[in-house]
Amino acid sequence: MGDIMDKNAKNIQELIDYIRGRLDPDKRAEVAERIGKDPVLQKLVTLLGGLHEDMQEIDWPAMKSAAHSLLSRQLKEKRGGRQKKGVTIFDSQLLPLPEGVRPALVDTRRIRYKIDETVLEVSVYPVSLNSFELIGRLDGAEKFEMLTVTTRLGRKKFTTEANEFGLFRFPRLTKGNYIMEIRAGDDPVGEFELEI
Amino acid sequence: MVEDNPKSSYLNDLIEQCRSGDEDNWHELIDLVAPTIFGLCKKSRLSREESFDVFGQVSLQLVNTLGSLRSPEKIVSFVATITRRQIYSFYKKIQVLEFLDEQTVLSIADDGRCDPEADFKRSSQREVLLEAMSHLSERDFHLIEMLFFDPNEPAYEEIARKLDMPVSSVGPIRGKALAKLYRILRRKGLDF
Repeated sequence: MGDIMDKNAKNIQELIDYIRGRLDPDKRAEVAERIGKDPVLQKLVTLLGGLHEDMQEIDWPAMKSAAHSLLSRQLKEKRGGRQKKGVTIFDSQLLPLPEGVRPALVDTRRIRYKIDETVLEVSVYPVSLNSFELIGRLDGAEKFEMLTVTTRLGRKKFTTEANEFGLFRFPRLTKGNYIMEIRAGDDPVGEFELEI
Repeated sequence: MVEDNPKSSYLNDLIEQCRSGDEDNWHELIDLVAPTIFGLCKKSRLSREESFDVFGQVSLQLVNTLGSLRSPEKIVSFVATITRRQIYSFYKKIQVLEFLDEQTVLSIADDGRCDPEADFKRSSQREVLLEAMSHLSERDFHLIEMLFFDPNEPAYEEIARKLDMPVSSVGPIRGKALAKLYRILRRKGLDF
């Protein structure tokens, strides 16, 4: 094994600092020379260095929370294995705001669900602080006839029809946890959970 | 020795736990593969929102198909393949590249800035590294992960707390874990 990997704490720290690009030019050249004498170590440094570089390039720390929240929702929606249950694949509300941008009191939100190969896209627009307009579109609506969409909030139920492009609209919904059902005639197309 | 028995490796166990529906393990798996997803999206010049869209599709596909993955150590290439397909679908959907054939679009989706060969090499290297790491014990795996995967570069105190070990042990264990990784790579030979 190369001398740099002799578990000597100083050597290991130098190796890590080398990979992280934290050494001054002289020290860097010295460590590089030692690494260069051992082809396996050189490979290890290349692999770890490449990974470390990738991690610095991507926006993972900012995206981590959004990614985990979306995954939790997907696992929850998949649980129970119900047929025709839509699973969230995108929710703009989960995304972090760009640096320096203050959150708005109410904001437009876009959510996308997937059910089999069909995608439902929903946009929620604030009408006032507590009421929202919902516009949705079912991808591939031409496969279905007479699409009706029903949103349920407890005992309240609102139904509308989608047009030939799969577009539908609910002009005013209050905050709450909705279940949205889409049917083609009597056949269920999908069921989606929506928290406004 | 754990490092000699890939069947009982951290990665195998992690994927097995995910298959049985354990949510905590799913989050660990996502921490491992998300850099590949977001890395490919970044190279394809997707915005943050578009990248998150691709991520959502890939994670759902992973949830749906992880059971069919035969070799857990191939998880990175599995995820990379799904991601490339989703990026291709994205380009196709916005119809910017509708006049190009799939192969051409895939190579563009792979890399918007540097040459595809370099990107492929980087992706293969990540796979080699993860495969080698899959032979480490869970503790060593996490230690390497925190040292090199975490862009926040956590301090020894934080590593010790997360791995439930004394701060004074982090240095020596870190050296041993790197040495084990070195031996695994040496056994594999340099043909990678």
